[in-house]
Amino acid sequence: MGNAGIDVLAIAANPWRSDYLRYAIDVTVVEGTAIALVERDGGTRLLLESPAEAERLGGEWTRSPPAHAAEILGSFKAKRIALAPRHCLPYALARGPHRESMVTATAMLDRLMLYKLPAEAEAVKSAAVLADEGYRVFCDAARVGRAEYELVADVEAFFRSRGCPENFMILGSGGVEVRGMHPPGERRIARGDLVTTELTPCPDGYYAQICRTLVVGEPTEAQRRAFSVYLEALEAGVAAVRPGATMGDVARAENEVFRRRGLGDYVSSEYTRVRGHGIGLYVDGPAVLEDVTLVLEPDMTLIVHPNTYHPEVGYMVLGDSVRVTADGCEVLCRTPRELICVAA
Amino acid sequence: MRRGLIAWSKEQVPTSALDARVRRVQQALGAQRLDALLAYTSVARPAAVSWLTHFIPYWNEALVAVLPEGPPSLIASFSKRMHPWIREVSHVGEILPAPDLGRAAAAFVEKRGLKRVGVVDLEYLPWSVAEPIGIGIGAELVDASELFASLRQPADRYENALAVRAAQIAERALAAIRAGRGTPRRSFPSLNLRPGARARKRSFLESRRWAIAMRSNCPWPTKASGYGFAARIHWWRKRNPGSNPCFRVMRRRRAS
Repeated sequence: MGNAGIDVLAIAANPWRSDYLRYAIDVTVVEGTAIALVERDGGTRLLLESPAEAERLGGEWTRSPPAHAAEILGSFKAKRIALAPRHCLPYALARGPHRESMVTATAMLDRLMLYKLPAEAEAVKSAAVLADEGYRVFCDAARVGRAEYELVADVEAFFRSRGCPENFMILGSGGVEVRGMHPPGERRIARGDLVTTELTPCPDGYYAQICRTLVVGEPTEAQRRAFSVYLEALEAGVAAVRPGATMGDVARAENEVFRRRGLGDYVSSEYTRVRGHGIGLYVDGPAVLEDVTLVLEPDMTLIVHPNTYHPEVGYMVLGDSVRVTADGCEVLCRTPRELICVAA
Repeated sequence: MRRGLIAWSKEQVPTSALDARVRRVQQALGAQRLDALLAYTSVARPAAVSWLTHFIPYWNEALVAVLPEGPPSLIASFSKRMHPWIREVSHVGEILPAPDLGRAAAAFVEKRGLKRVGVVDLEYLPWSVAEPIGIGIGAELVDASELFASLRQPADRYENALAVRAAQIAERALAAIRAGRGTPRRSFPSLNLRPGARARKRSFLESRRWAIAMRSNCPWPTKASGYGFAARIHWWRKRNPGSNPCFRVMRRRRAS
């Protein structure tokens, strides 16, 4: 704040985007909107929409945090005020006189959050350990006749029992008709299904992700053949992660494997969203895509996942969280990179 | 759990009920001199859009636009691959993909020549969505929160039935807790923890206790959960075994 010439920084948060607030004052809201007014000298006021959250976090309950925050900022006559982040700031606060500050203040926080302290990277590593354990629970849960939501319930129960309050999880089940992952539905697992999932537990404020595909029963030759492409792509992507490389380099390394195998069409946005992404305080950081020029530096954390549709077998996923080191990267997930088979 | 089962039971919420809700909004638009009503949805604020269309986002964000005629349009920051899933679980007309929700919404408003647009919970509409519409193309944004709240009353029989069902589930859950049958006691015998995992967990919990204790000297009145702070303390403790982490803070204070 000192370098940017900011005296007071107003940071908005809600249960979906609490990462900026967490970074600044180590608070995660689970209900309603929160606005923190952080002064350069350390003084902080936390305004909360939910009375229960105000009691839990020791903040101030107010019917309208954005309007109240605007009123307080209005009383700081001689101070330089900035607002962030732009995609989370409520209209009632953002429309005021300080809206010009939003872009630079958001960029400032984005930059700070990108470069992790070793301790933060360690927290992502701890989350990856839990992700591995959660995936084993998922494998146990995936049985013929069980509904998708029952699989997720088992994994969620496991994470809660381990004191993990948050997990981003989607899955897919079926065959060649499956084109992506989604929240759990009522479909029941059948013999021969490919069951995909990405688990993203957030035990200590930091997320880590794992993506794996399992087969219910013995995999077919086509499934084995398809899996080998994803395995090679993941290995190529992970090998490309090193200081000085860009997110684009990692995506290109993954995509080249698909192109060499005649599957170049399937790395386009029609079949896949991203080839990985940053991970940490937020579940979906900067994208791993060929046109992203963000340069990797030590202690950045990301997931590399060449997830996409395969025309012979359907949607497949495979991905590991990694931490950039001085000369490459450390793979944080330990679950074997195999096409896992569970009993039919 | 925010990402449990998402499904649409047409017995519980038939399309006719959703159509009737949208018609209530459409009838009110003219009386309020509004060209359209916009409702924003995200994991944090899903109620208005869920009431109108049964759509609940599991991540990302979207807007529902109700015009004086026709089914509501969904402007959604989801990839096209998710559109079949959206159709499975909700009742909407056109689905417009929106990599940038604000710009897509502004284009929607401009293309249809909408001048005066009501917004549910305008006060909380993210600036990244409000700016391109309100400033970018100069449409007048009007807070329609009170209008929308009045339209939701009285609740229809389907909504009442769901509220009764939710209350029954809550009662069963509370009864299970009282009977000591909650999930926290559940064990996962098939899961063999990696060697040392329990010790690491215990060590981290101890770091967290340190963090909470040290937070009591925090300059602002907070009861923050302190996970991130605890992670930093944990990291320091691992490198300084046996030392009191408070000394680190005290040394820093003396130095400053």
